[in-house]
Amino acid sequence: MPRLILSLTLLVLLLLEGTVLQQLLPGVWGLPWEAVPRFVLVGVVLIGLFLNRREALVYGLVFGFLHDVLYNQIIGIHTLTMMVAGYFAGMTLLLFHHSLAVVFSTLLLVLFGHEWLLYSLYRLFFPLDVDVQWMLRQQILPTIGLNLLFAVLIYLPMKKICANVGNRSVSME
Amino acid sequence: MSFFGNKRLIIMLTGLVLLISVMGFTARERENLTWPEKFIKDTFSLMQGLFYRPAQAFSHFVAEVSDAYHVYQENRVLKASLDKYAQTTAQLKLLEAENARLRQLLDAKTRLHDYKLRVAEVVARNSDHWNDVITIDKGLVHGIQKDMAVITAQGLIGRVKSVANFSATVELLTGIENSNHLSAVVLAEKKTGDAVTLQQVSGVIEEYDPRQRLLIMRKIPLGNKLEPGQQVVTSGMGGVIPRGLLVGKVVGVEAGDYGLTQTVYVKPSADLTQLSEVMVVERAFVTTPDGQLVPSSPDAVNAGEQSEAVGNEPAGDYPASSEEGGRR
Repeated sequence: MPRLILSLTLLVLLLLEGTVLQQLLPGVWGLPWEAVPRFVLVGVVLIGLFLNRREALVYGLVFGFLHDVLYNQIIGIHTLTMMVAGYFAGMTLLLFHHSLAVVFSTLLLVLFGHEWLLYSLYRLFFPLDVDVQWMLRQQILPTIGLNLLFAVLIYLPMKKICANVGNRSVSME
Repeated sequence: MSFFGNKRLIIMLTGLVLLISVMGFTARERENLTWPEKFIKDTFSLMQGLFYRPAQAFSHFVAEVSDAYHVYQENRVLKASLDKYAQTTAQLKLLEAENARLRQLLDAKTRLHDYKLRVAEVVARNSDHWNDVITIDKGLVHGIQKDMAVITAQGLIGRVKSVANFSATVELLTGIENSNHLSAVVLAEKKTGDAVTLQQVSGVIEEYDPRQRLLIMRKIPLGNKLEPGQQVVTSGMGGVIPRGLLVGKVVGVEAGDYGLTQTVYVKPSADLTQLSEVMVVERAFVTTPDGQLVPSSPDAVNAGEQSEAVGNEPAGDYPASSEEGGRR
């Protein structure tokens, strides 16, 4: 049951990303920045931090794949990036103890790394001519800001849900 | 080696190889989607619709409240343009009648630029800078096909990229990875003495510049003087996009690469940030890749023959005037 709740939460995040949030983005209100909601990614990273890195890898794989099928022509780009992002988020716990600072600096790094990986993968598949500096200033940084803001909102609920899943798997073992 | 077990390394490598081969396979241009993709897209489009519509309604409400402040100013401008509009309509009617009479004389029955509109609702959007796509709630069963043009009342917004049974994905003009080129013409006016002749200067819209938020139209022959403010419409040459769909306005002209052509920057006339209802354009006649002109469907031909209206009025069962009235 707790696992079902966790999966449903991520599913709702995926739906929100494509629908409700599209009405609230800065571009809609005439601002020059473009931010992309990556809420599922935030969820996956938090799973990596609160549960473990293998769970995050699997969730990243499944939801990245769904994102690819729904919106992208190339299947596999988001699958790969989200999988890697989740796994690396879980890896930080091998080095540091759990604390609020660690969680948010990991989120910051992973969000940045994810956008960067996406950028390089698209460079690989399409002959793009996009200025890197402009990309960073106008799109990547606002995206990180928006998603960090969302992470603050979802931090406590996600911690609770993951704790439930964690207790359950411990007691079953 | 002890960090990764040998087995785990092998699983990881096979997974990576599999993933990259899937990427390579799907990166090619594909005619149809596979059935699992269709199934996932259809299921999600249903669920997304439940979220998108209330959100859209809410943001429309907010926009309307802020609009209320500008009503007086707007009303004056609208009144002024309404007078002009009446005059233009009268002229259009006259020209239509003349066109019909001349066509009769020439015995030209079918019009190649006739088209039909299908109204669809947007259910989701992905505003990724790499591929800007929307999902609409009409699919194969409603007659939507790949590469059809998608417009709003204000102008062209993109084309259908892939179709599932009950939903379709539309690639917007603003996607950076937009690899399809669009054949378009600039409606230029040439003054020779007193007479003003309308000239159609053709070119190709090749890419979108996200920095300036403008479309870049290239391969325009030299010798035609283009000016900011001139309209750009689709040319209808090749493919399933009909002639005369408004794309936008010229905002800048410069010499093209090597100085042999001109390049024009086009500001899209449709507002791509807020999309709720769109129209998919089905052309009555379609050019096949080997250059033949064939009717797209049997009833499309009939519609083309029956309609006495100009091409930009839908020949289908959707009344154009009421639609546009509802949107404003």
